[in-house]
Amino acid sequence: MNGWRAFFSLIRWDLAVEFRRRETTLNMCLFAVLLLFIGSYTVSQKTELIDTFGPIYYWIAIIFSGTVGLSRAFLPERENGAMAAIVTAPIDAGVYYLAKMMAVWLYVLVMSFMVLAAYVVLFDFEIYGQYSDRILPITVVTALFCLVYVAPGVLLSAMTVGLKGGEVILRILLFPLMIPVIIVVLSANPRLFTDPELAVTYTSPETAMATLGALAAIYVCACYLLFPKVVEE
Amino acid sequence: MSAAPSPSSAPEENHSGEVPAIEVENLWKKYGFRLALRGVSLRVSKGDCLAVFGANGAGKSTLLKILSSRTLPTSGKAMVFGKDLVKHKLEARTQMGVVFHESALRADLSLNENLKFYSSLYGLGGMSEATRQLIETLGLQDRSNEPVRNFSRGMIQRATLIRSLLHDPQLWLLDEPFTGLDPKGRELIAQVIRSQREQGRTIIFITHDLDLGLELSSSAIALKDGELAAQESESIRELLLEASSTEGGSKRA
Repeated sequence: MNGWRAFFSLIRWDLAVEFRRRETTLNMCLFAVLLLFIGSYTVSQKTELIDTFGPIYYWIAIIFSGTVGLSRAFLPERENGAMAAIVTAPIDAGVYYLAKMMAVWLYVLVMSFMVLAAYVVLFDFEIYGQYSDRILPITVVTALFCLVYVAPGVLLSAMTVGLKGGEVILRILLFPLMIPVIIVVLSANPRLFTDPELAVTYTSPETAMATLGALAAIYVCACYLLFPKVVEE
Repeated sequence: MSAAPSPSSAPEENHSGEVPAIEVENLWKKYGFRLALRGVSLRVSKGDCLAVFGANGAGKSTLLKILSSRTLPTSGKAMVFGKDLVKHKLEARTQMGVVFHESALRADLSLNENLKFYSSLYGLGGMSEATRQLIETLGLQDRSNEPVRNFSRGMIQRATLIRSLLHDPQLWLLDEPFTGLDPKGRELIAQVIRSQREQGRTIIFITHDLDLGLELSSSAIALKDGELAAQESESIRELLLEASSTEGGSKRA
């Protein structure tokens, strides 16, 4: 019972701190939109490349901007040593992990939806025209992708938050874990963003969702079990 | 309280058969190749106030970290109110309040918000009357809705004490609570420790201030190089003088 109360309280106050600081989400959104803008500019002269490269820039923007949020995930707790008081409270360290993961997932989702909105504008993605049925699967795949991304990211962020060059180490450790996830979304890109009836050699959005869901479950469970080892000295 | 001077001495039940507040037996802690604690054994009875002295690097904070279940011992046994800190740490944590080196207050939240946040982690519905009273006693009632970021060092330390006591813990652990405070601030914190001691709370605090530490405590120990080195006030005084002259000498060198 106390676990649930602590879980919701941790999320609530994490969001309250972020709402007051507005650093993490704002930083991520600005960085993501800038990346997407550069991407759209590079293909603006060759419209036939948009369908191929547009979705790739979309995922790049989310991945690189996401690390900005992940590297800052534990900064508010690190300030004044609040992390020590949280991990010596009578709650399971795994609950702390799940709450932090949910909070960071929300920030990354906000950023991702900002990226999707920017993608619609910058890449002329006709959501009221030929691509009107694409928005829902893209949104679901994006949400699952962010969850798979955030689950190990939060664990690695806790490991690297106090280290010199922690942000770089975080990326070095996180990106290899993202390889299967990136392969899944890239192979699903043509049917996800362009035409769901394309050749079956491309992964269907449904298969991508199922694979991402399975990966999310594996990463969340593994990180839930590992997190206490990371925060307890 | 009885601090066992010999690392090998086994803990014994006290005369009344009461479970001691703290029971530490042959505690070792290793960080990499460095031994921070070497076979420390001690017992603290309920209601006692123990001052822990020692030079920097003597193992005081490591001992407190283990007692607060922040750090796992490399070997040995540590129990709080009969609960093993490795096997039953969640139960043990409900009975202890800890003041760390840092305030552990979230800078963007106000004192009231911090207390609500920490209350929820301890399964409390809200702030108790005792907590409200402590806020008033420590003179923070007018600033309790301001972000902690705006607090002075003294105010932060007072707020930290309130945070650590909000769940009415039976055991209170304090790591250098007087550091960085002016004489008025030190006296205020000392008063809180005295009043908590009078209320029967078991207290363990680390300090470098020998006179104040001995005045506030019912017993004292000193650590040296991770070992229990002294538990009489005179021998503690000699040990600290020796440590400070060594430190001074090495600085001059």
